[in-house]
Amino acid sequence: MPCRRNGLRINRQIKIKQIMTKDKTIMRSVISFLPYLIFFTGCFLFYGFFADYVEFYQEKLALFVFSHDYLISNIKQPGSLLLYLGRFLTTFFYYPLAGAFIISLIICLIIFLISKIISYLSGKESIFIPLIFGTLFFILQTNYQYLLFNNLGMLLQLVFFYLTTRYLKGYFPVIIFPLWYWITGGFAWIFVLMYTFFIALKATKKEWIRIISLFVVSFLFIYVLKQFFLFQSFNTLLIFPLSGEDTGSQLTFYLPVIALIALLPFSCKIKIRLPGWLGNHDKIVRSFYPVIPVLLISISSFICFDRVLKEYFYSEKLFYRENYDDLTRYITKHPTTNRLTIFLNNIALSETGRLNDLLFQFPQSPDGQTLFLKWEMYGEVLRRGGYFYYTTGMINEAHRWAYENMVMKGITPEGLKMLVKTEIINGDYKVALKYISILKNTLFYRDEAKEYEKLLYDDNAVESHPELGVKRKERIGHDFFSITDDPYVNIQRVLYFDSLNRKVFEYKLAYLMLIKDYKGIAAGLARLESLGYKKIPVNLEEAAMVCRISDSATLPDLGNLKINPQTEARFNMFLQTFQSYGNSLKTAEPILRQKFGNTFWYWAFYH
Amino acid sequence: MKLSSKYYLNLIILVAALTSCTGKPGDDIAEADRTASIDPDYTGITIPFNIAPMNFKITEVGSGFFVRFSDSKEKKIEISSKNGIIIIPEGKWKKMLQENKGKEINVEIYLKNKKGSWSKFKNITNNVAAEPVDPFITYRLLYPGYESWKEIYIRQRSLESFQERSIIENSLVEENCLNCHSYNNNGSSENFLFHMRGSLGGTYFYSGSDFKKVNLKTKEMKNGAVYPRWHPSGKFVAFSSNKIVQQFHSALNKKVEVSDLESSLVLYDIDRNEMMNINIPDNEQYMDTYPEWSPDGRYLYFCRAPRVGEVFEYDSVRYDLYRVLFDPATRKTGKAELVYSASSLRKSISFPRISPDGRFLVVTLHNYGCFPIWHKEADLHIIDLQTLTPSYMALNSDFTDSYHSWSSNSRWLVFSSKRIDGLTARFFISFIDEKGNSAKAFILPQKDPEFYQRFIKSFNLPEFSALKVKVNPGKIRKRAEGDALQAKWVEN
Repeated sequence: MPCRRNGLRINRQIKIKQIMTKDKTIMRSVISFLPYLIFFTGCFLFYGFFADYVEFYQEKLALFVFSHDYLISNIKQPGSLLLYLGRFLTTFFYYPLAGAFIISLIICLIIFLISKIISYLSGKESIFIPLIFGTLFFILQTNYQYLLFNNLGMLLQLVFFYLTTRYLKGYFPVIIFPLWYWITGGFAWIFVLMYTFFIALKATKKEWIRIISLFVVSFLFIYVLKQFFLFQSFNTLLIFPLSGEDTGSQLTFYLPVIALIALLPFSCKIKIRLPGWLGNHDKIVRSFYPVIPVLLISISSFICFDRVLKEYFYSEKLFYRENYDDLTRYITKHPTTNRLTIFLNNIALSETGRLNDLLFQFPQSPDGQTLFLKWEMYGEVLRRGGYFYYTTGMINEAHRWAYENMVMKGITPEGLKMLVKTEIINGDYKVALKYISILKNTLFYRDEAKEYEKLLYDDNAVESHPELGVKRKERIGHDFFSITDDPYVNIQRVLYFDSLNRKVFEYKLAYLMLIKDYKGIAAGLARLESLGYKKIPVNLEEAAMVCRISDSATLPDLGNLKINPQTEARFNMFLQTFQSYGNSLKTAEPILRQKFGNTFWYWAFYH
Repeated sequence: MKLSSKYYLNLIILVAALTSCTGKPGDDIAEADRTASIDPDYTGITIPFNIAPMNFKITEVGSGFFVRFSDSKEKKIEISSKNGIIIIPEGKWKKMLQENKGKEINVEIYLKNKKGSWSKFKNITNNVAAEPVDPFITYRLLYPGYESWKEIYIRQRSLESFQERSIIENSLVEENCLNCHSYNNNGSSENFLFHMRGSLGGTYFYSGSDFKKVNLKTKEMKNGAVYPRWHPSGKFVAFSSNKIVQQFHSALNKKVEVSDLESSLVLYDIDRNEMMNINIPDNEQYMDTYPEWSPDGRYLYFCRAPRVGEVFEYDSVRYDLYRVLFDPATRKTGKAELVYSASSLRKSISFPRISPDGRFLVVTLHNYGCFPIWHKEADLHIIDLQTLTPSYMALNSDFTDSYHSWSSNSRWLVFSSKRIDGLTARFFISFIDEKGNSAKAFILPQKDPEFYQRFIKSFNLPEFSALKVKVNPGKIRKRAEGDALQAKWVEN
């Protein structure tokens, strides 16, 4: 009996030991994954809630279309499939949290794979080095112009390298390399270098033949493509889709990172001896592992987060959603001097009838560049400049900007929507249908496309549409040649033919205030009543006060409109304040800015 | 009894075949009193016997469709379709057309409704011409844009199949602009050229196996050489030399206005590498453009308008058609002779193109100016060169019909038309008989009949040719990166 009891006890003890061992294993697994989890979480929180402008910008940069034509046009050279995949994933940036998930996942997979590679090549676990690499890619991605495919391309090379070293033996990598190169383009050379160094370390004659074969096959493939199929230059075939522009001009940072990745097979062989006291306290060292990603992410986030960009892109988001009041409120709360933000806000003010009430609430450009952007084919202006024309009823010109942007930069969500809207407003339903068909083949814009589609060939539906109907009514009727190098000329031409165009008139007066053309302002003031104003906009009142005392202009008869006595009182206060500082512009500036910085008077004095 | 996997596989195939088949119409068929609506519109047309299959889509509402092509000898091509898309087998199509040169082909279209009953539309009858069309069209593919460009291709498409290749793509040449490709004698010789504008700019002359890069602009020239036309001998090319301005309409349906501020005609002697003015008397008072040679090379036709001042009304500039005698030996011309006064009708003329047999001249007629692709009212007119009487061509539409090219046998005309959507230009082909009458035009067939509904780029400057340009784009790129031969200016 004692034997049996002992046997049971022993069994129980064995079972407990097994459970404890299992628990320990689980615990160890959890602890080993903890750094990745923490890194992922930190990354996700950063891109999901702080740097979501990265996702916003990239999602708006190009439209992924689910169509055969789009696929065919995007697989025509080595590397374009990688771009295609990158753009597909970028589609989900429509939801910043989904975008944050994708970005974080890719970076964490990079970390994981580097860790696996190091473990396989050196026989030792490593978390610190992979986390450092992860941090580098994290930092790179914080540049909003660093497109997703760069990290994706890197990840794919690590996957391919890991698989070839672990499982795909012999000449299989050599044979399959042309296909890999077709898929990932210039990124494939990272794999080539890694694999070459990996093989070279084995240093046998057989392996050298393999390396040579790999290079021969690679260059032969490029040669065949160059001579017989694609005819592109050798350089283009070699490096596409790697480009300075698509890394946010971070090549000087990105290339060394690539080099470090390529050298992984060598660096894995470097044995780093830990100091004795550290080596003896392995468990304590391990317990600090979760702290490392926290530190790395936190420091990187702190350094790389760009508040200005966040505010700018949030403003742009509100603009695209046509939340004009919210946009103005946001910019009031987060002042900016960014010209494009102010430009968009001015449009918001115009759309809400407050352009000449709140113009000087926001920093303007003395040459009018915050009111209308001069034509520029290559920069960011082309994407946005057309909105001024859309707001002021110059629909053809709005269309032209959107069209030229499409020609130069490809199809973008907002650009395509502008093309759809302008074609519908102009009654070109057949062409609108073409653009709508493209928009329908997207994941997140198809509902909008369907709404536009309902308007086609139905003038009544267009005219009763809350936006397009209004735009059709406000569309300018008289033809002239647009001058995009000097947009103010267009304003003058519109008013020449249609002096009652109120929106354009407001822009004109805003411009005249910016350039302090008092005669022009006075002439404009004289027309307010005929344009249906029931009260004088605030900034125009302020300008009127200046006209009253100016030598270069006379305040005209305002008809039944009256200047608000409060404005008069404030003006007197302004003058008194100025006088109290000895009529010195310099000494009076701080106090005048503080009390009257949002007035025409301050502008007139200090610009 | 256990059934083998092979049995199941056959069963699956059979079921799939049965369910995908719409069946054929039986005897009980209702007759519709109209023809079926098909897209593209290939009804009542005259087609060349060497044209690629003219696939189309039946745009009627039905659950199944059946089409039968038949000839007088009751040979048939039968096609069933669930979605209305009719893809004609290429081999059978070619054979049918070959066997029916100069005859008719009937097209029967049947529709199956949801209840499964069939109805038949009125037959479509198309004529197969005895005359072939030239095997290739060379054209420029780009966005019908305004100022900017990114992707431009000069492509050569086989009309006898759907095969197509790029002669050159601007992505290979630093995104330079490519334009004004031109054949001599419809490509029956090996003379072909195009311009490249930009960092690798020049005029590229094809010589059978390679391209020669020439810089035609000399310091004596105010403006570059623009619109080319080969002299039939292949020894000369006439160009217009233009100062062009492009402006954008703020409100009209017209988007772009392209005008010449000045233009004149120049001649390039290929063998001597010499550029010279074409010294037409009094030409300083005029703007001369769009040269065109008569097939015998004796006459040079061109469009002429009074020179504009610094300030001018763009919509009152109107071009007439003139010609001068040309002596190839001396390279001199005679006095200008008015051929057609479009301005007296308050119209303007562009793109004079003479049929290779010298019988007819087709022009684009529009309200003003010299760039009709943006003019909705632009139409093609044909002038009988024996009587110099112009006629409106039946192939026109309510939209822009412009830039045209004759086939080498003078029986086919290809032209750009914006009739599909008013924005993008597409190629239409029309049969021209010996009297100069044009048949209903049909759009260049595509493998996918829905292609034109989706495609947003424009087909530009169609040129028929028998010549297949064999140089690959890589060779052109290499030439482009090299130095250009500089043309010499001579006073003639």
